[in-house]
Amino acid sequence: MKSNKVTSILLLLIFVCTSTALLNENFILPYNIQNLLRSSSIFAIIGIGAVFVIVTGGIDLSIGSVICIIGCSMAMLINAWTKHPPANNLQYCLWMVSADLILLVAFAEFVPWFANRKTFFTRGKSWKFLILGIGIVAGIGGFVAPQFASQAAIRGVAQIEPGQVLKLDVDGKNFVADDGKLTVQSDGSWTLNFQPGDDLPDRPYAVTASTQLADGSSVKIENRVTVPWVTLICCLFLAFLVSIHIGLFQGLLITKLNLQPFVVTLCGLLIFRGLARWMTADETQGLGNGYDESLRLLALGKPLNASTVILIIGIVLIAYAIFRWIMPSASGSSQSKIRNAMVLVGAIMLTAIGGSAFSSSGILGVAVEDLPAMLMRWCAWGLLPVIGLIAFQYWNHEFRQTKQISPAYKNWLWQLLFASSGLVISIVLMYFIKRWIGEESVSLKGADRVTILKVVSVFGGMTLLLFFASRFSKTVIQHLRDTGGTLIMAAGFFACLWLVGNTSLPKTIVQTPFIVMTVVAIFAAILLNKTTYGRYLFAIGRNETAAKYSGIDTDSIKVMAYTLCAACAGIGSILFTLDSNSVSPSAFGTFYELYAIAAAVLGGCSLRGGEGTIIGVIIGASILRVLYNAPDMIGIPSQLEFFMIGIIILIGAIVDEIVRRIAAKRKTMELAKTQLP
Amino acid sequence: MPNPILRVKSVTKRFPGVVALNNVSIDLYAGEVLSVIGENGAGKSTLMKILAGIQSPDEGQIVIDSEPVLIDSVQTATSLGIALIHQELNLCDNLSVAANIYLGREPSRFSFLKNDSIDSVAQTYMDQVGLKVSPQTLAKDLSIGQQQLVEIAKALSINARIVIMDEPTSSLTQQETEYLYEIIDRLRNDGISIVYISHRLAEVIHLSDRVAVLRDGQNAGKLERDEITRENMVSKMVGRDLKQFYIQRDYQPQNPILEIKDLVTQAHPNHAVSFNVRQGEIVGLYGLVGSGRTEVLTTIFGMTPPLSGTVLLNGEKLEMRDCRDSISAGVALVPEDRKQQGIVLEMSIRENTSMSVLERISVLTKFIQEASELELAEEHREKLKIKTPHVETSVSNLSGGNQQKVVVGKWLATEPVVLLLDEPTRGVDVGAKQEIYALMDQLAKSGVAILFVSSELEEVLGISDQIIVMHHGKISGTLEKTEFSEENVMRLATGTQTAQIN
Repeated sequence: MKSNKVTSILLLLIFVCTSTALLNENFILPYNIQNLLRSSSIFAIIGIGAVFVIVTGGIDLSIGSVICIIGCSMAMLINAWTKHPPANNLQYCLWMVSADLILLVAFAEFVPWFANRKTFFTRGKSWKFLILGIGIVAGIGGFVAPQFASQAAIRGVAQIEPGQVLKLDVDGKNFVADDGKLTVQSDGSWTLNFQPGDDLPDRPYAVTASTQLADGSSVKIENRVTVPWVTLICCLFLAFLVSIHIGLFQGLLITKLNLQPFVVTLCGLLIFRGLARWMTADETQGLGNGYDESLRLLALGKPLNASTVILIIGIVLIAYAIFRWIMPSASGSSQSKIRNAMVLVGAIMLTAIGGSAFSSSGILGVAVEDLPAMLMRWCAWGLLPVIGLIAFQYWNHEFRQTKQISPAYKNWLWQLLFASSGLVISIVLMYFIKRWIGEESVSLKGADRVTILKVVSVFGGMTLLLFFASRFSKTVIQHLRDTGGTLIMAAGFFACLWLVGNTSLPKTIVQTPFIVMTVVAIFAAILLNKTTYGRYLFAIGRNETAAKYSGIDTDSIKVMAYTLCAACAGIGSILFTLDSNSVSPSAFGTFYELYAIAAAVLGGCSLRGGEGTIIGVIIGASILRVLYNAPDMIGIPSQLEFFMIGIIILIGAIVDEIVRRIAAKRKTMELAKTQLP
Repeated sequence: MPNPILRVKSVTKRFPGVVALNNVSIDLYAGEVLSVIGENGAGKSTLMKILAGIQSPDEGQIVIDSEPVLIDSVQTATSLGIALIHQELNLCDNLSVAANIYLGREPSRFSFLKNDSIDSVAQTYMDQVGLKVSPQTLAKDLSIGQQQLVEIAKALSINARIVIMDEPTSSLTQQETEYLYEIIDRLRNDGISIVYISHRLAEVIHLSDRVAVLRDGQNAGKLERDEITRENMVSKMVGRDLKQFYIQRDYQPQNPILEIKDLVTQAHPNHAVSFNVRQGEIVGLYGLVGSGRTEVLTTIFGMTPPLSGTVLLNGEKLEMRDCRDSISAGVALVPEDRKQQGIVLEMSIRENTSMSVLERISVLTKFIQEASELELAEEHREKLKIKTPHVETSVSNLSGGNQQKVVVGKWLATEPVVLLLDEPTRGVDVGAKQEIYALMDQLAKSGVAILFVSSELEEVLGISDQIIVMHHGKISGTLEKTEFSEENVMRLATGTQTAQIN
């Protein structure tokens, strides 16, 4: 049931993507794909947070406002702290953490609300001591930090020719190189030290740099301000800490005072938005245009290109396969061994493809850029004889003799047959289409990317049609139901090949948000599926009373869920802010809670609680982003954006429900047939 | 013999994974009480739902007054004069008695309610069933017994000729039950036919004109008035003779394990409760509904903190801040409401069994080890003879008895010292009942102290070593095995004699 839901939503994603790509090829330009990937990743992060709350049967409406207030505070903090010595930033940060943790333990120990009701902190003294210990260490660290003091200063890099004199204009105040405050290195990096009297406002500085020419006139030169990494990390960490506290606060209100999640988080929505607007005096908070080096890197990412990622995935999979080989799982069936072998083969292929980017000659003499198209060609032509052979064998032998399909053969034969005949049909169709529109001939050998695109699109569309047809029809194409999974996998495989083929492997940037999302998703998936916490969360969502009667600390688990949700919103907010580079307190993050909830619900969460998957919510978030992006691409007026999103989600929900009903009915009939005497 | 007014002809009904009814036929004559009995999952409830139009049969026919009818909705059933009184009463708490009686067919003019007339008409039906409250009383202010009467009044108000009662006495007190018998007699004399479903064979013997037995969704026999005996019914229900229903226990007193001293529960702040449970002993806690039995159990279990008093477990004071204190000390509670409190229906047997010990069998108490979880679940499935192909089955697919076994298994996994059971056999079929009794006996023999609450007097008398009777929140008496008798227990339970018998 669970995987069914993920499958159907994956189909929806494939459908939306292929249809958009068919209508406008710009959709699959690397630039667009990268943007989509980045925004989907951030929305997926906040969606993952929402899953935790929704699984408990609650709801968090304050996500958007939390994003806003975190974004605003982070921007303000970076602007304010840039002029302080990094060591001082660290000191403040450590002291805040220390005070926070010590207060937390004090609350748990002495405030009757916690201490007597005995649910949140009181169990497990060791945790309390650990928290207290970290708090004290952080406090001492705060005292030690200024030992590494550097002076308060802003730093930057200007493009300065040798012999020129740098002049800085910082919010109207002028500084000239070597006037005792501004020092310039030969490579153009400058440091402007502050004295206590130089009051600068806690907002982005309008820093303009110029050089003085011989005739006394000034010429503006390129310049950017850099943020020390200690300051940056302190600011991000504090912003994140604020989000955790917001979640903790809301969770405590919901569990300890037994208020309704809807009410509490609705108030949160209003309160945090209002607070953010008041705090910033409703002024847009910018990170300044100069902070390129450290901040933009975090926002967009340059650390990995696609081939490196493929290489890493390949190596990880190889390690996993070897691990499984040495330590087979408890239910080590032969099937799982085969699966394992397949994983190993795939992993070696991935490693080869990824690694080939690092060798000048590519792999087997093929340039990396041509690799995907070539792989696709091999697959396409290689399949044909196999299909023929299998079909012949099948009709000749098994079926003719027994008039019955032997169960062992049935599955994979039919799967292969349909998967590959779909491909053949698409190619034939393409041929006639091309003929019809006047092109002379088409062959995969000379396939340009557009052709590959269209083949894949038609194939994807057909896959979808066949899959749904198989769901609706009982007798005519009964076996298609089993083949659905293979068809999707095949379509996904080809789509990936083509996607990768359309971009340049070594030049593709894998976005920081995507990496962050992957880490968050893996963490969340493990938490949800492999730990006692996740099990309890589902139990609470399905039957809270029974969970309580089983001795599960339901309150603290729910508090944790709200905290995780806000924490994810915090991470999302940091990424959003860095991405957009400026935060407008009245508009930033509006509706994001609805996107997060929609992504979670699309991904298979039930608002009644007790259901939800991480992979589902990631796909759900991607669908939302693609739907947001698609109207623009297709040429639908942008005013219809929301209309489109609403309609498509609604249709998806309706189709899903209808399919579910039909499937349930058919299952009943089948079971009844087998069970009657 | 006259023609039956209702005839169920070869009805078959299938659900995913199970054939609920297979070729079942039943006749009902005017003015008789027909009891339909069978183990849980025998198909009684499904049959009744089909009659009431909640579900429709896959095959077969229903004939009323020699006319085949198609009951495709509750409205149709109502117009045919069939009324179903559910086991779980379906009254709207926030509406008045009169409004509940007329729910769904309110007298109205131009869709404006006529509230004045509703009350007077409702009053006549309320008089018929002897419900002595104002028609404007809200349903939530009524006792369970009174709510039952509202349901019956509702049935009368649609001029029902056939009234189906699904376990009507499961939450009634003794007096309320007896009053219900009177009403049923009166209805029968008025020519109304009653289909009576119950697990309590004593009631069936008392009330029925005829008995129809179902087993595994099939007809398992019919009993006429003079054949209705406990033995006949049980053997037809389980398909075999049950020589000995209750286990003969031979208990030698040992040291007390659980000592309860002046425990004051939140439900009865004016009364303190004190008693002991000894090692290896089965103690029955009897009392009418509302006498505070369940509250004593939940308080010991730590669900509701006590107002005062102490509980000693093996001589050590039990902290009762919440149930995790009790669980870690070795107390387990099989709660009263299985589906709400006992299990998570949508989860598998494996997940339910490990629920309370999950941290104990997980790596670093956090990372679930499915292998050891599976092992635990398999072990308890075999031990408790839970009837299922494998432990990954969702608990919602199990019958009531097997669900109860899962709950028991969950608590056995914690290896309890004291096992508290609240209505362990409610809604459980005869076969599973006996298995639960055997299990209790076996556990007691291994040294576990068992304290159980039950509304079924014969069960309390049958398996207890000692009976503690409660009345209005205090203990009205303690009976040793030699003093066991229905009269003694009932006298204490109804408060006619509060002095200690021994």
